[in-house]
Amino acid sequence: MAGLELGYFLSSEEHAPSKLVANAAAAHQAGFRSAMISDHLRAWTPAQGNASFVWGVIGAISQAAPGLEVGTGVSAAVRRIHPVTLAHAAATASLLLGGRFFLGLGTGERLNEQVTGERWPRAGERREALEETLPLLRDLLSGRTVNHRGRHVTLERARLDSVPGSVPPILVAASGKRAARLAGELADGMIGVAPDASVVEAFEAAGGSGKPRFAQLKVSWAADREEAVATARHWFPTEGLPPQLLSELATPAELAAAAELVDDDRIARAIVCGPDVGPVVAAVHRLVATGFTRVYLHQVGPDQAGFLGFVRRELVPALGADLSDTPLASGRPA
Amino acid sequence: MRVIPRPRRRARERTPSWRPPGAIADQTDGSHRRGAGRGLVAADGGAEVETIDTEHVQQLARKGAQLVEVLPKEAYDREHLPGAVNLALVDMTPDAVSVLDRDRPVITYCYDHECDLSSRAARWLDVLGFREVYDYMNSKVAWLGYGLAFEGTDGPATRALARAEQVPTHGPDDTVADIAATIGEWPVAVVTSDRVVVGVVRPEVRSLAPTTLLRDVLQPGPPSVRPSISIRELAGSMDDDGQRWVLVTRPDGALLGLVRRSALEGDG
Repeated sequence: MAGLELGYFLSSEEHAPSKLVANAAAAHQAGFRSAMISDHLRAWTPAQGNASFVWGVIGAISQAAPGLEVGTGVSAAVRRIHPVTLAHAAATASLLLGGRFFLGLGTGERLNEQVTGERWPRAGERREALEETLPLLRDLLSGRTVNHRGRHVTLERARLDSVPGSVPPILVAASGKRAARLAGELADGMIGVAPDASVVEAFEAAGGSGKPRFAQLKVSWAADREEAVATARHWFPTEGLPPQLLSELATPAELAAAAELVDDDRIARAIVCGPDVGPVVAAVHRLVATGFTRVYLHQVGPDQAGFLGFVRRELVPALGADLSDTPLASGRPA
Repeated sequence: MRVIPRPRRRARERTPSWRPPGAIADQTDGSHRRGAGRGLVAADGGAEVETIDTEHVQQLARKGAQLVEVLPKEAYDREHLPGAVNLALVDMTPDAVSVLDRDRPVITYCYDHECDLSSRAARWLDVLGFREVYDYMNSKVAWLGYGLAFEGTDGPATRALARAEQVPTHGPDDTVADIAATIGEWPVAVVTSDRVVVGVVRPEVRSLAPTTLLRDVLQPGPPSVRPSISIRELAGSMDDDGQRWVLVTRPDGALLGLVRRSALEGDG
């Protein structure tokens, strides 16, 4: 059995674009072979203050950290960006990364997507749009000419001239069983954030057996616990909110206002806080135990260098892991 | 998950609603004499009837006790305990009970412990002069829930247990290294020494350090059903819930096996 797969998470909402590129290079230097990067138009809260165009950042990472696999976690497919443009960006990203790319897809958040004057569809309608879009993205990424007139997407003579040698893996984010079912049926894998075995089971029952499941794990590592909780509160108080709110609130200010109601205990339950390796190991164990095959570690806040040191010194040995064990989801050699 | 369909309400409404004196409803499965110490006498009926559990029923049946299902015929025809006779309480006249041997112990049972028919039938037989009468209060639901043999038109071949397979078991203090040889595509069960399920371990944990204890990586509360659930009902509920497998366990949590969704295809 292959060893534990670990990846590094790049938070577009917390870091300026040049910093994301530097962090990716540092993580690669520290031994990580794969990174997942968030795709946002807006920060979650005003305090985060960033949200760069992910495709430009990925292009820069491809040059600053050659050999590092990068995937989005996750891109939405139908409102802010047209599917043909998303496929165009993904194809170029894959070419620049030498094929070491995966596309993570989701149904989006109002915060990032409802900016073109259209109404914000309910979750079921957004899943339906994703279901219609995913096969079209595959067709476009394979270089085919696509004509399509559907409920959510229209394409006419759409075709990409610069496409990678093989279609990159497309993974779908799922926090509930319905999205998990969609991911199992249509996607090459699943992305999740919660250790919920019933979601993984639904993914497998719908056809996801043997396909990868990536989890994102938020950690606030710091020399002392109080500082770690304060960092988590400053950068990601929204982790303490009910997940339904994250996709429905419209602005960073609204999310920050809601997050003011969240107390430190709740934040510390959602984000692993503190200097000790034990709770991080336990959180990784919980995700693997519920069926995730890879864990992307998201250190909340600016201290990425300190966290990378902690990973090498303490976390990797405590997990009995080896960062070089992580195979590339895209199947391309480093 | 609903495991066993409730009986049609009509089956209860048609029965007389009186109770012999001294019969206090008691939903425990322990064996004890009801009415003992209450100053009731056997001649009134009831005080000498003992409530017994599933294991005690098996012991008495092996020694020649007569099993009497007191539900209506349709319910008896669908499923009944091996060798049981059917005497619906509504039809239990002094003449009708002559089919029973007064010199052998009699055990009455009905649907489940909520159903009062077995208790009332047992007291009635006591009143009619049967010398050794037992009330199997937990009744058919408990019997079937333990995966014990039964007969009827909706027989064992139509139930989940018929499609169950063995599942490897480990203790909570076994390690990831210990499961390497037994785990495949399906989870292994983590059980106590009396085979009660405390969780399952999924194959993905093989990527963790070999010394990791199973107690730290098991899923508590895996989906489980009783062995008596019909194959058709289980298939439907697994599709609704997006499950590829469920454990089959007894009411006491003891493991009987694992059923894959793919094993439920075909007529049950």
